[in-house]
Amino acid sequence: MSDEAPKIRQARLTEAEGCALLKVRFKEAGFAIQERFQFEEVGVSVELDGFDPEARVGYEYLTTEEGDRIEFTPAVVGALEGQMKKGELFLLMVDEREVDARGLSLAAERFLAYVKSVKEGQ
Amino acid sequence: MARGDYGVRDWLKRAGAAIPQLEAQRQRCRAAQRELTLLERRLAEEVPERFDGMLLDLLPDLSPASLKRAANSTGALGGADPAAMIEERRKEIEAEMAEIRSDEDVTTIPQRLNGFIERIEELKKALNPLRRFLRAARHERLDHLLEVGYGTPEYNVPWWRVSYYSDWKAGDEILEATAPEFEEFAGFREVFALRFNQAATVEPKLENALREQRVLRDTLDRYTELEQKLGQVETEVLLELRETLGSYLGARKEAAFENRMSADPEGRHVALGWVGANKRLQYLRELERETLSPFTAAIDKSLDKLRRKSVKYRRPKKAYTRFSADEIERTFADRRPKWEKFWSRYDPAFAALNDFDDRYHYGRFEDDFLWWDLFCDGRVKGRFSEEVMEFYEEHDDYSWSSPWDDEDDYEWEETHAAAMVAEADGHDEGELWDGS
Repeated sequence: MSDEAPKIRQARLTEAEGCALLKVRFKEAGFAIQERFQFEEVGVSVELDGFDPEARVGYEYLTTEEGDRIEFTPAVVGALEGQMKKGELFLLMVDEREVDARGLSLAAERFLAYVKSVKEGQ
Repeated sequence: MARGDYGVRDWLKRAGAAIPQLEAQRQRCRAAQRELTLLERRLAEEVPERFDGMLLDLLPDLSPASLKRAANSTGALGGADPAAMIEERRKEIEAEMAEIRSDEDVTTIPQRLNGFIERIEELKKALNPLRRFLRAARHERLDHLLEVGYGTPEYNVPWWRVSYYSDWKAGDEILEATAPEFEEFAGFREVFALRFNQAATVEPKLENALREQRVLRDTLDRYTELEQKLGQVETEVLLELRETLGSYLGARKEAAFENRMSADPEGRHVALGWVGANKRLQYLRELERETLSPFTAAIDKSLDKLRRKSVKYRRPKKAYTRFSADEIERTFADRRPKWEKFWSRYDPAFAALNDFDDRYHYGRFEDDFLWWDLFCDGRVKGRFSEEVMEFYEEHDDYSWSSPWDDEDDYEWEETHAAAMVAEADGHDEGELWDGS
């Protein structure tokens, strides 16, 4: 309804840049992030960009370039989301088309605040 | 004498004496040119002024008497029928006015225009706050938020998706931009949709009102213009006929009046003023083109040549150049008598044109009359003018007699008269100073 079509996140980050930014944010929040973590649960076997297996908190940056969209099929994503819905897993799923540096940083901040509130409630 | 009689020192000494003489001539030429240009400008302004005055005098109005007089005096406008022209113009204008009246009630247009002003004001008043709000709410993600139902129970982007946080951020920014009206995006959504629809309704109404106002105003302007034109038809026809007369006279000049003005002394007086001023300007331009300009160019050329050679002969390799007596004589012969002869012709001719005190009414339109002789009172041969020379050739038995009575009537400066006594041979500009 506005005058122009929405231009969502024009200044995109590369996966490497996005992952570096997220790793810093997650570490600041106290998580021991392991990069390229091999996640194998609930019949799913995927490599996550960053994951703290102890806290079960991490992130995955979905990019076409890295072939993520082949690995993270709808079935895989559905299985992971099932765990997240139950509060057993906390993965920030980042679509490369969605964010710029400022947006990603703010998203990480709010995600981590949410995780903290859930974990404190558990 | 044999070659080698004179050396470079002799040559330079003679050149040192000749150059100041040429420089003095150049200055004199420049001064004469300035004077001529001043007169040329004055006459160039005067001629069209006299022309306009003459047209006004020949055709002051559209009365049959005036038209008859203009036709008799010039031969133009014989078939002109101003009454028919006026009638035709009036009909054209009245037809267009009637057409406008058939589409519009012209008498009520001012009142309706006032109504539009009020209406437009009201619409703008309603639209401006809506536009301000919509402008403030403008955001690159706004359409997306409205589409995905952000702020409503339908919004289903999960918390682990980054787009969830991007939507959150965009929603906050929009609320901040439109603050302090809304605390939640749900409230914003509702009001945004309402105001968006309101603006979409009011905007076309405003555009229509502005367009209708413009059309009405243009109609009124055109009608007013036609009313004014209707009141000025006679003047327009008069100006048009004067223009026709002007074109005719401009093309024929004095030939238009030949043998026609005897019964109209007043018109004759004015017409002679224009024809005479025209002739005066024509002669002045011929005088410049045929005499002053080439003479000046020759002096400039001689001076430049002598200066260049002076530089050349000062070079060491030219130190032993020898010149024969003939060469020296040819190069440095005293040209001053020839120059003076030029000025003795030019000055009186220019003075005749410059000093003529506008008594053009002594002129005549008949072909045995020579305007040049009027300007100089028959005392200067107008050799510079092809037209004057042709006149002399075509009128073997011609002789000038002053139209005024005595010296009191027209004072001829003695200096000019004296200079004219000597009718010298023609000069060759190339020999003014060949400097070779």
